[in-house]
Order: sequence, then structure tokens, then C-alpha cells
Amino acid sequence: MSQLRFSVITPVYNPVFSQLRDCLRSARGPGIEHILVLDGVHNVRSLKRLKRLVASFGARLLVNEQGQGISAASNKAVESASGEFLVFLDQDDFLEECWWQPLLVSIENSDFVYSDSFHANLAGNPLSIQRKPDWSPTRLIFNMYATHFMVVRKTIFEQVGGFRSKFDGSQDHDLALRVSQITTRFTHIPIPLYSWRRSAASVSTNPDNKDWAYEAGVAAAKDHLESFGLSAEVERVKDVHPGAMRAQFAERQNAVSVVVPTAFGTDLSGLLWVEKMFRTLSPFLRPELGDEIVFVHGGEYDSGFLGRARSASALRIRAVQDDNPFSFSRRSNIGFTVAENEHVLLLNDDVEFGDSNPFSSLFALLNLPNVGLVGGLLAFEDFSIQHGGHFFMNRLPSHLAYEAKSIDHGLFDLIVDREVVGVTGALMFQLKSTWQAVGGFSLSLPLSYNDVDYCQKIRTLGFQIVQANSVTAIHHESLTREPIAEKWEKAHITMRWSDMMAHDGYSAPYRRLSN
Amino acid sequence: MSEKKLDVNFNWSDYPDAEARLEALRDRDLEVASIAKGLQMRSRITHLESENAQLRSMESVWLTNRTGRLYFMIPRSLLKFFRRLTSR
Repeated sequence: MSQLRFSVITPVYNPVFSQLRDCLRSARGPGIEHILVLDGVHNVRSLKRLKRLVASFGARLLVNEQGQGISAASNKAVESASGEFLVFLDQDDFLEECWWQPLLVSIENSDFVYSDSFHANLAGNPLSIQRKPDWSPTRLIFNMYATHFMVVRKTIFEQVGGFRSKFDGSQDHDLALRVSQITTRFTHIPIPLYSWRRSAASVSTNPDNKDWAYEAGVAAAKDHLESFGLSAEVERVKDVHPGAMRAQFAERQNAVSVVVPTAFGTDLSGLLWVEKMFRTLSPFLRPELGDEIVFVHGGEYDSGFLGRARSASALRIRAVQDDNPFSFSRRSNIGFTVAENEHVLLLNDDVEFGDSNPFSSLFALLNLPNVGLVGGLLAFEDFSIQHGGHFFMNRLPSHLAYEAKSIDHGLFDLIVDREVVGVTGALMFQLKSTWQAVGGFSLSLPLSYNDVDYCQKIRTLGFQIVQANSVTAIHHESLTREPIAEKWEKAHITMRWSDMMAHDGYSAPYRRLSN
Repeated sequence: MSEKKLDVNFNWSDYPDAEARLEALRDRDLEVASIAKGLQMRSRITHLESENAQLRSMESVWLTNRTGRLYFMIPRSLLKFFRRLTSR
């Protein structure tokens, strides 16, 4: 054991002694101290029994005679902790044997560590594994996935001011969000290091058991967004899960350039989709801000579409002719080059929008630190999923939940805005400077996989990609051109990103479980 | 370099330095891909080094993982029974 020391902190309230015994037994180890703090004394006999139990395991018990809530109790325990790292553990949870060893491997470069978990029955036997995503700061706002077992560097805990009582019930969510504001050194250990017991009152059994706690989570998310200057109404997606949240962001103040690489369709039916795209998008564009649409085409027949669009709208509608054969990458790069606004939405010509304004969420999410690119949730005309973010499996990219009929997929993967390994080129929102920094779309991939390649280049520069599930649209995929995926394209993308595509810490674990 | 004001309809080949701009993007594209290749190699080496370090200093990490899997397959009491057997 190295000189590092862990202080395990367990707030205690009206405990079940057999469960607390498991907790105490599991937290023992070399160089580890366990501090419990009883929040409110209801029964003197129980207190005596508790003191005996805690002492028998060599742990320490602090007592808050007047219950002050879980945040105040945990802060009190931290004050007397001497470990370099604080390990927060609930009274009915227990740790796996040798739990500290995987921690020691990565802890020196980390300020916050979380792990996967077992769901256990009352007897403590594992029922299932809860796989958690790799560090996902955007997802964390809308879904507290790093639940229960958290390891936080004590100096960082003190720097953010510890737990805040006004967020009791979601005080851990609030803490994780505030830690994410000052450090990016988060580590996910993809091994279940603890068990979360499914008691009758537990959220793991019935999520509605702690409705008040989820409301505290909403307040924490709103507070976090405000710290970035983002004004938003946060609401819970109760019909899916009370722990899933979404934000309604304020109207944008910056202009956008919409770049549409197109061949205007090879026949009139293709043109119909382009017209539909324009008609459903233009209500959300604001000429007074300087919004524009740039069509990059090859001189194909447009049946007078551009003239009709210009006469029907006050928007600046530009058309650039590129005489080369259709290349999505080349036409996108041309569109970005001539775009006059810093915020650019790259859009397929067969995407159709609904009633909700996509730009509020796109602008707000792109404003978050480290976010380099934002995509949307796309559906087919029958509302089955076309694109829920890219995911990697067997070192190849694919669309998550392709053709799925339900959005109840994985751990809110299609519900909350979250990090992914990539998003489709059909709807991509980014800064023009980001596009320039990565050298735009690779001309070596003219038709397929150019979006996958583009996303990996953005990740290489240290940005994260966000799948905005709150931004929805219909995608009449490949109706305006034939889908082509050649073998050489697959070989090329594999050659370029083989290692990157070997690991997907955001979507793959759930996918594997659902299979 | 001053750029001429472009019409709403124009041909890409009339754009100032059109192909030179795409060429510059291509150079940057290759540069980023090369950085990525370096990072992937570095990550692979770091991963191997970290695995070696784990094996050298903490052999039981591997055992922990194994027991984690065993937990899933057999009851805890049975595992303890096996442990007692092997520790004798």
C-alpha cells in the first residue's frame, strides 16, 4: 500500500444494522479510515448499539444530535478526515473486496473517480451490473450517472466548498457538477467496485421513491448552467425516468450560417425534400441577425427552387456552383469557406424540422467548455430512430439505435443530451474555426465515413462531441442520393482511426447489455 | 488580400484562391491525422506500460478483476468457501 490514504465517509440515518455491518466490513483496509456521522439521534439504545458496532470495526462515529441533513453531516465528517481522498459511501451500500487497488492505479492523476456498480438484493447478492459512461460533463448535467460511490480529492472538495444543504437529496450531483467546473481530471473505473442495495425505499427499486431528491437535482443542473452564463429552464422527463432532465435554453443572440451540400436531387422527388427542408427550417432563421443559407450544388436542375426561396424569404440565400462530381466533403468545405458567420450548421438537404426551435439548444450546448461539435436526434418518417449518435463496435462506426422504435434505450442514451464518439454529417453544429482547425472534411472520403473522420479529428484536438437528443428532426436518409459505402472507404477509416475506434466509453456498454 | 464581393449565385472556381484554400485544408487534414496517429501510438504504449506496472507492483489487481467476475457467477458464500480451502 502506498502512502495514499482514503477516508471513507458514511452519513448514517436510521440504519438497518445488518446492512450497516456489511458497509463497515467492506470499508476496512490498510491505510483506510472510515468515518460515520449519525444525523439525528432518535433512540438512545440504538445509539449505544451503533457505537458498539462502529467501534468493533475500528471506525469512528460522529454524532449530530439535532439532524441537520445529509450535506451538513457529510461536511462534518470531512472536517475530521485525514485522508488525501474522500470516499463517499451510503450506509446500505458496500464495497467489493480490494476495492482500493484499481483506484490506486489511476488516482494520482485524478481529482474525481467513479466506478461501475452492482445492483444487489437485500441480502447483498448481485442482481445486475450498472455500466456507466466515461467522463461526460454534458451528460452529467442532465443525468447524475456517477451515483453513490464517489472518490474526491480532499483539497478539491474544500476548494468547491463541500456539500451544499440547499441541494440535499442531490447534494452529490451538485458536488460533481461544481468539481467539473474546476477540473477535468475525472476517471471512470469500468469495474463494479461497490454494490447498490435494492431496498424497498431505494431509488434503484422505484425511481419515484425520492421525487424531492430529483427536484434538488433540477435545481443543481440549473445552477450549473447559470455558472456558464446559460439561462435555461430545466425540466424532468418524467414519462421516461424521473432522473432524466432536459433544458429549454433562452433564444440565441448570434447569427448562423446554414451550409447545405446538395445535388438538388436527380429528379423532382429529390427537389421536393429540399423544398421541405427549406420550408421547415426557415421559420427558425432570423434575417435581422444576419443568418444565411449557403447551397453548394453542381449546377444540377433546381426547377426554379432558388428563385422561389429568395422571393418567399428575407433571408440571404446563396448558391455556389462546384463543377466537380458530387463529393459531400468537397461541397461542405466550399460551403464553410464562403460562410460568413462563425456559427455554422451543416445540414443535409433531406432533413425536415418540426415545431421546436433547434437553435437554442445547439447554441447553448456548443457554449459549454470543451464541446467542439453538436449533433441531433434524427428519425425516419415513421419515427423509428435513424441516428442517436455514432458508436463503435468491432472497430467500426455505426448509428446508435438504428431503426429502433423506442427511445427507451440504454441509460437514457436517446433521452438526455450527452457525449458520444461522433455524430452524423446530416446535422452538425460547430464553429467555423473548429472546422478550420481540423482541416475540414477529408477529401479522401468523398461520400461515406467523412463525418466519422471529421469527429475523430475534433476529438484529437481535445474537444468533445455532444449528441443533443433535445434537438429532433426527420431525416429522409439517402432519398436524394444513392447510399454508397465502398470497401475501400471502410478500409480507409479503419486504417486512420483503428485505435480510436477500439474503445467507445459512451454508448457501447449499454449496447452490449441490450444485445 | 482583398476579396471581391460575391454574388448570391457564383461559381466556386471564380472564388479568390479557391483551389489553394482547399489545398491548405488538405494539408491541415493530414497534419491532424498525423497528430492523431501519434497520440494513438502513445496511448497504446502508455496502456502497455500501465499494464506492466500493475502486474509488477500489484498482482492482486488481476485477481480482483477475476473475483469480480466470479462474484457474478457463483454465490458469495461459495466463493468464501473456496477461499478458505485454498488458504489452508
